[in-house]
This record gives sequence, structure tokens and C-alpha cells, in this order.
Amino acid sequence: MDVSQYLEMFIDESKEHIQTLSDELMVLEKEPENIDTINEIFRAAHSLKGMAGTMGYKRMQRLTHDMENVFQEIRSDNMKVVPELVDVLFDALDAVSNYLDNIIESADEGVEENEGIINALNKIVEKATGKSNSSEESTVTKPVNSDNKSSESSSDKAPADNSNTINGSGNNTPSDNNSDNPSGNDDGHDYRNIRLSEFEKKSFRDVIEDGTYLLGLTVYLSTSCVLKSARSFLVFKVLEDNGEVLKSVPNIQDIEDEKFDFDFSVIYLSNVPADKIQSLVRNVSEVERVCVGDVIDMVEDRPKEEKSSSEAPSNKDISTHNKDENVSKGHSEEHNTNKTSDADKKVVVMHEGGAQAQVKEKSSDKSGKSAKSSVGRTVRVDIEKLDDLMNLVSELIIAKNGLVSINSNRITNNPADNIFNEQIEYLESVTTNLHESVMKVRMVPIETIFSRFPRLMRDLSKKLNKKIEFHVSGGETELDRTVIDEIGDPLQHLLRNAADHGLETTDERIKSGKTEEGNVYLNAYQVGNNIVIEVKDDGAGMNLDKIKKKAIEKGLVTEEVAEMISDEEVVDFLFKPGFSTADKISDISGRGVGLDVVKTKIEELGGSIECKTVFGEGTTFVIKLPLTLAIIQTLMVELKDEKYAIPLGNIQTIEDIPHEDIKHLRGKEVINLRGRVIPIIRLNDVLEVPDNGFVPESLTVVIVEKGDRVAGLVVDNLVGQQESVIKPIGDYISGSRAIGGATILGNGEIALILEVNALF
Amino acid sequence: MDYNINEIQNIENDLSGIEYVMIKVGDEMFGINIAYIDNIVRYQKFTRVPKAQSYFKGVINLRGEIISVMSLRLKLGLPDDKITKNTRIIIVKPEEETQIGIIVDEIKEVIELFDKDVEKNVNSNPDGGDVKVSYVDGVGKYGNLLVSLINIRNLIIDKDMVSV
Repeated sequence: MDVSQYLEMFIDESKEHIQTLSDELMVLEKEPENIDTINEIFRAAHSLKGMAGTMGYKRMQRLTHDMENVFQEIRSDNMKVVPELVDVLFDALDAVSNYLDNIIESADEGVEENEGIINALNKIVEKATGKSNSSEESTVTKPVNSDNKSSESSSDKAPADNSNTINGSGNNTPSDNNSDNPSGNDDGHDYRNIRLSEFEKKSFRDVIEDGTYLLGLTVYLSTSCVLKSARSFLVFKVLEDNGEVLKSVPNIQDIEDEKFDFDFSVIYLSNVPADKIQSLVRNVSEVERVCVGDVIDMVEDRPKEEKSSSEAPSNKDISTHNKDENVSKGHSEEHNTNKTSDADKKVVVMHEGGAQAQVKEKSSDKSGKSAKSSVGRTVRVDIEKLDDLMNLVSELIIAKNGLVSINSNRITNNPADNIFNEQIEYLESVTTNLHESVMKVRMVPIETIFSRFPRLMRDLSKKLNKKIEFHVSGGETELDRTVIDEIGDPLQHLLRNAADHGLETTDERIKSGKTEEGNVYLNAYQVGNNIVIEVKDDGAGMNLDKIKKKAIEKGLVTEEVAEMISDEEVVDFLFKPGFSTADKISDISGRGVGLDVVKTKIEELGGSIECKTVFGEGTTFVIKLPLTLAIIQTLMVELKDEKYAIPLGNIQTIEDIPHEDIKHLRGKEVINLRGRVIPIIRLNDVLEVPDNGFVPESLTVVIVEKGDRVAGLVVDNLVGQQESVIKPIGDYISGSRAIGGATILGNGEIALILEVNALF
Repeated sequence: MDYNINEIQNIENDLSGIEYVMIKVGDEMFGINIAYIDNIVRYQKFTRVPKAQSYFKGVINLRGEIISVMSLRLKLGLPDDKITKNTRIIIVKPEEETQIGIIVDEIKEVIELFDKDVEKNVNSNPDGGDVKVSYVDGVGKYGNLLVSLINIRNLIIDKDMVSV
């Protein structure tokens, strides 16, 4: 069987299961008796095994099989969860992730057998249960428990109960149908239990007069089937190729969302006889059995309890299933009933038309519509498509900016221009909204990366022999997908630092009167157009004097200057390349490559990072990231003849300062703004702007912020606010760090965007 | 190992020649393999990029894409460009998905050179001799003209960045 088309689905679902396993193993470690957790792990391992088997990944299948085995024993009380077991399970989980990584890369699981882990698992099971359970014996095809009784091997799609199926369909002749329910169909999902509204009966009836077969089908998928919706889809495809599905229970949407067990029923119209249909559907792999029967009687008129029925029922053919209490009250049922009055009218019209084909078409239309109207809330979209969309929005905004700029250069006396103005304003608001909408689509909860950290902290806790309480909050905070992909490593680095350097050893903590467990916090929240992520520990904090000493040692600062600099500036040394205050290097962190890399990465993402530390109380790293990367609001300014864009998010205020208000403090130019001393940065000098002899009467100072710090940027002229599409500055050119990108102005010129964080 | 269209064509096109755009910079003629050339545009106003490499003039907007522009003259250590009506910017693609503009004095014509017309690497020692040599793959003879064939990748990607 060709499974390549399911590879993506397999990868996505495996990731989810691996995450579940990881989360639940963490819980299990704390609560070894938690039966819900054990069941959850068992289920996830089982699903993984099944999926890996279907896809033909034998090694992954074998490993997950052994993991599942362990939990089977635990579930049946043959053994207990012990810490060593959890360790091995974590190793096994890592191995499974490695398989998956290989699969993502090359669609092949690789050749690592992970014998060691498998043996370790089996040894623990053996020791605990006294049973021999070597991996050779428990090969994947050997049934281990009732849950996976049918083999996972995809080629093995003809289970022994095939004959049942034939019998089942044999029972389903119209005459039998009216007498009693055949055995084996007591689960309430049988097609005979589908309840039809009067409207449906009527429209179905109209259709079958044509001489086609009206069939009922119940399809039972193999219980080991892991891609249920895909299988069902194939079944539906077969059916649609040979006729028309009139109704399905559960409805098509629920089936697509996998909201069903392992069976579903349809009412089906076809000119192919029942036994033919049955064998066609049987050919779909992982379909365990199919019951097919004529359901012509179901649409015969008969008395009904349904109040919505507008038809006068004629008393004949009371069939057993109408009395059946098991009747499924599916979503689609309600849906259809609700629609009945409305739809009835349609039927009348159609009926008058008298054309059978038309009725057929309309009724299928209707079922199609009802399926669509309840389309699920999420769609999986390739990120590339979203990138394309974002690019188009960017183009649109550039075009819009062009229009705005043409318009503002015109002298307007013509009344028609007012209308033109209005339309341009309208266009502006539409493009802004469009941009926001597309941006929102690209947002992903930060949970997707936060979720991998509990495991990291657990491992660190073991490795460092420190007790660590890890607190996570704000996982629901959303960030642009591109940022999410990039922010994981920096965060991991900071968390390692917090655990390794931040937290004291348990002894030290007890000595200083703290709780035995060190706390590490990871919080995310939104402030305006920024996302803030905090990594905080309640450890020893940093000794600023020690940092100063180190900075002097490394020649980053002279002793005299070091005496004068503020605490904030001292902490800034941490972000300098090669700076590490750790006395000894551990393999977890402290090699001095780190915070500078973290900082670079975050600044690449247009964000900033700050560190606050209180000696004896702990350290907090605060990361601030923009909500979006591609399009930002900027203030356009002029420096001599050149134009630059300053991101609005960085700007606090704009001030007009007379030349004489500039003071000199420690060799730096500062201004005193409402009691606050603010350093000023002359952009003309920093950016080496060619002089054109222009000297302004007073200084226009844009006050920008970076975390808690502010600075004043001296500009020559303010142009105005503009929505700027950020573009990379071009290939091969390496400009000043203070340039974060470029944007195209309305008139086609290019303005460079200032990277304010790099100016501090 | 990276190979480019140029090398592949060298192998495939032993019999047919390779086309070069012949350009004039100062008094010298240069050839750029046409396979690298994306576009040729008139000289236009560029936006200066602070603290860029000295031979980069800045960036231009080419149909919504921002493209950095270098001066071939400055890169080759010649006096700065004098902009005339003949000045052109050749947009080349040294690698997939990258674009860069090169300012040249004048574009002459497209010429076809066969293997026999080309004298490969005049200087066998790439570390010695003139700096320019590493930017030049060889010299082609076209009529009575000598055309230095530019190695675009060496020219654009800084020499120490090239990993060969």
C-alpha cells in the first residue's frame, strides 16, 4: 500500500502523541499510581505503535510496542512504576523522537535499533513480573492484548471474521430487516438504526422510484486503524464513484474530524447491487467488515413520532428499528430535523418539476451543504501558503502607499478629489485590517514550544541534583509562527542557565533559609504590540561586583569607568561575547558562548532582552518580541537628505529641545526631560550621513525605549507615520547593526528601518 | 561541493560556445556569463546603507525587491564610477534566490566564446599576483579584443567566505 500521502498526517499525529507521552510521563513520575495517566500513556504508545506499523516503520513500531507492553503490565497490576522505569521510558521516548526526526528528514526511520533501551525495558518488566518478555518473542505481529488483536500490518486486511460480514449482509434482505436485528449489531451504530426524517424519506423515495438500489451500509474499521478519517475518506470515495451517499451517521464532518469510534453507517443510492458494493468497500484496507442491506423499507411511509413531520403518515410497515431505543441521535439528525420545514418547501417545488435526476442532484446538494455549513473550526495550512499570502498583502500595502503618496502631492480643487480621498482612506483601512487578519492567521500559541521545557527541567533537575519546581504560565499567548520557530533555542538556553547558575544547590538554599526546591518561572504575556517572555529564578542572583571585576579583567571596561556605570550597564556585560561569570564550566552551561548568542537571535527577531538581578533573590530575563515581523507601523524621519523609519513600537514621545538644553555628563550628551536624564544619540553621526549643511534651529528628539531604558534620537525632520513593509536589505551587503531592514516608500524610494535596540 | 550552471555548461557545451555579455569598465573589457544575468537596468538613484562595505553603493528598488548594488570599479580597485548615460546596472544571480546589482560603465554586446578562444586562469598561483586575478576565470579572445571573464561568485562572495 502506498502510504506516502499519509506521511504528513503521520508526522503531525506522532508529534502530538510524543508530546502527550512526554507530558504524561512527567505526571507519572510524580504520581506513579495515577491510573488515568497510565491509561493515557498506554493509549498514546499504542496509537504510535499502530501508526508506525501502518507506515512500515518497523523499528519505531517495535520500540513503542515494548513501551506499550510495560504499561500493559502496569495496567494489569503486574508491576509498579519505579523511578528507574521512568528514566528508561524517557530514553525510549527520546529514541522514538529520533526516529520521527529521521522520518521527517528522509521519510526513513534510520537504522538505530535501540537494543539497549528495549532490553532495559524488558529487563524491568521481567524483574517486576517474573515473566520472560524478551523482544524477540514479542514481535509486532504477536497479539499482546485485546486492544491490538488485529495486526497492525497494513497488508493484513482480511481478518478471520470476514465470514461474519457475508452472513451479516445475507441477513439484511428486506424481509429479514423487518423481523429482527441480526446478532452482532447490538452496538447501536448499525445503518438500520439510522433515523430518517419524513423529508428525507420522501426525497429518498422519490429517488428510488428510478429503479436504483437504496442501500444501507455499516462500515467497521479495524480497531487498530489510526488514520480513521483517511480510511473513511477512501471508503466514501469508493462509494461516491459508484453512486451517491444520501446520508451518513455520524455526519461527514464528524467523520472527517474522527469523531466516531470504528464504524459508521450510510444510506446510499447506487445502481450497483449490494454484494458488489460490499466487496468494493471491503477492498479498502483496514476495513474490517461491511454490512450492506436494502433499506427500501426504511423510507416507506409509516407512523412517526416526529413532531416536525408535515406529512400525514400512512399506517403500514412498522419496522423494528423504529422502536429501537438505541437510535443514535447524531448531530446530523438534529441538523436535518431543524431544517425540515425549510427543506420541505424545496422538495415540493422539485416534486412539481417531476424530474428525478434533478431531485437526486438537489438532495445531494443539500447533504453537501449541511456538511459544509458545519465545517470544523480549524484548517491545517502549509506555512508557505501563509507566507505567500503575507507577501501579497505586503505588495498591496506598498501599492496603497504609492497611491497615498501620489494623492498627497496633488493640489485638490476638484470636488471629485474628495471622493478619491475617501476611497483612498477606505482602502487604507481595508489593507490595515487585511494585514491584521493575515497576521492573526499566522499566530501560534507559544505553548507549542513551552511544552517541551518541563521535560528539560526534569532532566536538568536530575543531572544537577537540584530540586526544581518549574512554573509555566501564559502558554496561550500567541506569536507569529516564524518567531515561534526561532525562539525555542534561546529560551532553552536561558532555562538551562537559570537551573544551572541561577539556582543554588539544595544545601545552599537550606542554609540561606529558602525552600528546598528552587523555583524557575517561565511566563508569557502580551503588552500592546509586544509579547513579553520572562525567564525567572529565585536563586542566588548575580553579584554585580563580580561581573564588574570580570569585565575589567576582560578589558571590556576600565576601572575608572566601571566605578561610575549604572547597575543596568553592569548587567549588560553579560551579553558581551565570551563573558561568563561561572567559576567552573559545566556541560550544561557556562562556556561563555551563550547570552550574546541569545541576544543576537532575539535582536534578529526584532526583539530585545533585558536582565534584572537582585543579589540573593534571583534573576529575571525579560524578552520582548514584536507581534509580527513583516509589516510594522513606523515614524518616517529625515536625516539630512536621507529618510529612515523608526518602528513606532520603540517610540515613547517626540520632543523639541533647544540646543542649549543639551548637557554633558561623563563625556556623553544628555538632556534632562521632566526630571529624567536621558542620553541622546545623534543619528547623523552614528549613521555617517553625508552633510548637506543643514542646521536645524532646535533639536527634534525622538525618545525611544528599550526595556526600562530610554534614549533620545536626534533627527532633522519628521515626515509622518507610515505602515512599512519590512524587506531584507539585499544580499551580500553588510550594513550597520543599527539598520534592521528596508522598506519601499510610496514614491518607490527606499528608506532604511532603524534597529533601535542596537543603538543603545 | 558546489557546482553552478557555468561549470555544467562548460562540460555540456564543449562544442557550442558560452555566451557572455561584454562590458566596459575603464579601458578594460570584461565578460559576464549570460547564465548569471537576470536583468540589465539603467542607472538609478540608490539608497546609501551606513557602514556597508566600501564597494557597495547602496540598495535600489527593483519592482518591489530591494537589491544591493556594488561598484565593479571600486571592487577592482579602480577610481569611482562616473555616471554617464551609458552607465548600467547588471542584476546578476550568483546563487539561487539571491540577486545583486553591479554598476558598469557601458554594455557592449553579447559575444559567444568557444573553448579554444579562452585562455584559462592567466595566473596559476591564485594567492600571488594581482588581486583581480581571482575574480577572473580566464581571458577570452574576441576578434582583436581581450575580454577578462569574470568569476561572478568569487567577485561577489568575499574571497575568505568562499569554501573551496
